[in-house]
Amino acid sequence: MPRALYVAAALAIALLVLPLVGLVARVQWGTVVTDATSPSALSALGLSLLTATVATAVCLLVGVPLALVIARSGPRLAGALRAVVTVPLVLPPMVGGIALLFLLGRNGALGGALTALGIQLPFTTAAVVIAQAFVALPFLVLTIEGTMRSVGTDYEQVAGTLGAGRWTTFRRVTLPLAAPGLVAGTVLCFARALGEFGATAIFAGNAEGVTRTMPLAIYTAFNGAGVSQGSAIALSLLLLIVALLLLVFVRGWRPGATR
Amino acid sequence: MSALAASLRAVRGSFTLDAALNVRDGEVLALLGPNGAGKSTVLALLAGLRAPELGYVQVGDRTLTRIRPGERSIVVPPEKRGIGLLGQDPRLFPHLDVAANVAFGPRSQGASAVQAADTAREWLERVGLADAGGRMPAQLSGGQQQRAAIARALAARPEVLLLDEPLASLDVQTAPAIRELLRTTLREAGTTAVIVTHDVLDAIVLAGRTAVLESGRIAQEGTTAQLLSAPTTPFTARIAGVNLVIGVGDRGRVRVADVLFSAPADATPILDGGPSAAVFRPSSVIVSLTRAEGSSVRNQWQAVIEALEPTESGIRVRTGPIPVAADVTPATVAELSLAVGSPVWLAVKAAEVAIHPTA
Repeated sequence: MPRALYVAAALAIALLVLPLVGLVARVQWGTVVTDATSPSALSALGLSLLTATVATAVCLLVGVPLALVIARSGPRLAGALRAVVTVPLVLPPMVGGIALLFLLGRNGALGGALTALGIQLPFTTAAVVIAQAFVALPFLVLTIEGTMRSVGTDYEQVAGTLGAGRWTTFRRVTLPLAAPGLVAGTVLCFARALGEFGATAIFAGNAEGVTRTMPLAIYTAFNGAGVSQGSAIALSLLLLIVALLLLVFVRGWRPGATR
Repeated sequence: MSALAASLRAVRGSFTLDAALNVRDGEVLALLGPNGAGKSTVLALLAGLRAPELGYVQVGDRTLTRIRPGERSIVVPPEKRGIGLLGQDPRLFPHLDVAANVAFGPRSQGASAVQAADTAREWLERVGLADAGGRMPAQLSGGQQQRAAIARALAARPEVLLLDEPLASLDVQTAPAIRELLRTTLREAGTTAVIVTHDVLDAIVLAGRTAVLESGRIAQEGTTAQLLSAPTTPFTARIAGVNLVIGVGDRGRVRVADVLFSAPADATPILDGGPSAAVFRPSSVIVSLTRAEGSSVRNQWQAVIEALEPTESGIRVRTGPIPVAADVTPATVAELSLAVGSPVWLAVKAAEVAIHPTA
């Protein structure tokens, strides 16, 4: 390995770590607790945890079946489905928010029908969940799909020849064997939902207590509207800690299924 | 009653499988054949993992597969066929302990947790793993894993058990014990079974009857003893450790190219012009550099050495163009300066030759 590559690698680490160090250096430790526990901060944190949890649950409910379908498809269909799943991943979230608004907004293709039924989605807490699920679902699907594909169908076939029906096989063989991917995918999905900003801002807005999640609260605070910059930093610190905790959880979790 | 009857036709690319199998209730049939003969395809078709292009699979009076033109196809899914499968890889569920693996079948078929655990304990005892129930599969040796896999397959009470090279991944020290375990457990359970193998020993020990599959067709079928004493295909001859040359009948002898193979006068009669085979042991073949003189040596022909292989007792000389192996001592090889490409004379006494008609 050429020495120069070490220098480049060090630069990469610096790029990733130094901003976070800079953030922590700016924390005003005297007021950080009061800043982070102000009513508006706590409301944003509670809303974030609630919406990210619901969004993750929704993603699991529909994402695990989709991952299985892709994992069991032939190369062509799998490639096409994977491309569809990847689009929200590479799309700027802002664009996703606009797309959601055009679909589910009052004059949207589906939104019109919903409005007729008396359902209004944009600028509600439900809209936050939808926006988060839209951007986070690809992480969950792609991670779980990879695990399910590498596990293969051999064990499922064995289960079949032992007399296990499809649901039994799914519950007792397919899911447990995909456990490492399930955990990693769920954590990634939750983290992405927690940090989601662009699509939420466009599709759900920035109403305190209803749609102002942590990232929106940080943005608002940073722009000096309502709360101080100090609380923006405090909230960022809080979000950073949550992210680190998630990371520790994934690392600390040893997959019993692959022993 | 769980007799197995199947007639299967399956096409994959240029390979065509066209085979019929009949296994009586409680009988063990060995399906022997070289690599690529279609043995695994037969098992996949029987287990319902694949559907044939044409044919049927019947166990007792239940039709599990039936594909006939102009009729609605029947392919009962694997979990409802009552056909177990034990492969060369134990494939124990890595996330379940050994007892839970064995209990998986009964549990899936509706037994209570307590019943299933009892069944598992019983089977683990029978395969000599009474104390291993609480361990994870990865903590077991290869032989122990296969024992657990046997217990798991039989605990599911299959009507028919398919075994796909069940000893192939085990080392030579472990295989005999597992072979013996399979013999006793299959017999005790009275399970109808089809065992696919390339090892003739498996057929001898485990199966009452053997069918030889070559290039997608059943080339020979009979009791294992019959098959080994009168092989009619090169493959069967090779596994029986004998030479088999195929030619046509010519006044009681077998003509192969311009060589005539004679057998003792009381040999099985063969048809003039009918496909026939001469069978003799490699140790009966005499190798020399010149034509032997004398009246007793009628079976004599010129050959070229194609390979020299060490064996346990000496050296095996493979020759052509008629494919014949001869076992000689290292001293003979040195004395005659035998090497690949050497022209030699081969001879075999009529008394050492068996001839019989082939299919």
